[in-house]
Amino acid sequence: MSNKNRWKKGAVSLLAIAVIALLSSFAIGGIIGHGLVTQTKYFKRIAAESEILESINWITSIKNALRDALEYAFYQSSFAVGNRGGYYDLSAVHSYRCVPYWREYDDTNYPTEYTANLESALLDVLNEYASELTYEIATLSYNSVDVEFENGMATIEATTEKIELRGDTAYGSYTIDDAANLKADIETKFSRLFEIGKENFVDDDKIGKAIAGAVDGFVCDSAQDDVRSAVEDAISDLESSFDYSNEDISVSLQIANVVFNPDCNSEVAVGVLVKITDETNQYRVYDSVAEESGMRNIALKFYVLSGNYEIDTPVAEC
Amino acid sequence: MELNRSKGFIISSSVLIVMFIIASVVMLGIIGFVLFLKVHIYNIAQYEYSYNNAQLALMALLSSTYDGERVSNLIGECYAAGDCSDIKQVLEQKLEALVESKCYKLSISSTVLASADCEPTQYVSTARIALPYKSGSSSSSVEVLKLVND
Repeated sequence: MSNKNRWKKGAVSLLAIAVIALLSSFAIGGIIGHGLVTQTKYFKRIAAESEILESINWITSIKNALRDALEYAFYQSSFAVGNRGGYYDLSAVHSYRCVPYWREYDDTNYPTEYTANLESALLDVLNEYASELTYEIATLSYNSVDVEFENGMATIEATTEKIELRGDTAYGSYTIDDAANLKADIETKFSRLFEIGKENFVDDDKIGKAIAGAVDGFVCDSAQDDVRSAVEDAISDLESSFDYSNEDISVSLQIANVVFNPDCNSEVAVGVLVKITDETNQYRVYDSVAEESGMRNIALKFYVLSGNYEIDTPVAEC
Repeated sequence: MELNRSKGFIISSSVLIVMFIIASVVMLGIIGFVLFLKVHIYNIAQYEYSYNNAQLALMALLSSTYDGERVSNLIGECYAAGDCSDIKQVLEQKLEALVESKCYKLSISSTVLASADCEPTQYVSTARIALPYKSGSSSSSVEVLKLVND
């Protein structure tokens, strides 16, 4: 073989090696490139899935918390509205330190709209919770709350727009929304407290009758202490006559003030604080009077002003 | 002539050996790289899976019930009362069943509600819970519940 042929053969071999090396590098590059693309795809997909799952979990946990919030809001608003004699806004009635007068002699102020007042209070408290629970996103706000009492149960429904969460992933933005309406059935004697109050102190004036009976027989010159004592006894007897123990409800009557006619000791005006309490359970609520949280019974409080001597109704701000 | 044939054989053999070595190294490299990718992705997927499981464990705990009461409610009540010792055992029993590694710590703020005999660090999941109402302006009626587990 001549030198020329040898060189030719060597060059062909080198060229073949070069071509093989080039093809190999393409193949290797392709495999590595494919691996990198696949890896990036996996990472993107895992990140996106993870973010969406987190969002779904987040919405689920908020909805769970809202269910508890609705219960707490119901106890809180029942406590607050009960302590305000069934009113949420006391500006339209006479009241003494946030407790309204249900009766001023023959005039009565029964809160016929107590359920609506409870709904207003409940809506405000629930929206405080909703706002705190969802502060990072567009604040969730409930539009209305409906409460219905039946057979010792309150059926509560709160309605709102959907709870919505927007986010961005490597694949683009996403929106997760879910219905956030709430419904709960809660055992309560709230409306029963009002029935008891109405039948004894609005439809009937049992305190007025007790006072009339107590002062009967006294004369203008009678000693004030004797008259006061008779009134106290009468109110105490009246209190004892209420027996709702089979319903776990108590009625207490506390004399707030006894005002005598300056010209006649047998004529008195008596202010009585009536407290009708559901003794079944205590709930942890915020007591705005004591300015502390604590375990409290749900109770209905109101004043009755009665007697055979008329005075201007004592009023005081909250 | 014979010498030239030997030279050609040696050259061809050398080229083949070099190519074989190169191919082997490249193949090993590729296999190693693919294995690395696989392990790496598996680890990430495993982490995400476990992390999501940790979140699900927390949510399953909160929506479970004990004695007719939702656990989220029990936690809210006891935390507001400042004493959760009564439900510690209940929480631990439930978490033992929910957390695969059996190493967990459930807390609100700095209060530890339940924990196993270990110090978990790997997965942190959180959920907000409602507490009994407090005055709106001064304090919050919502707290963040944290579950750390391995």
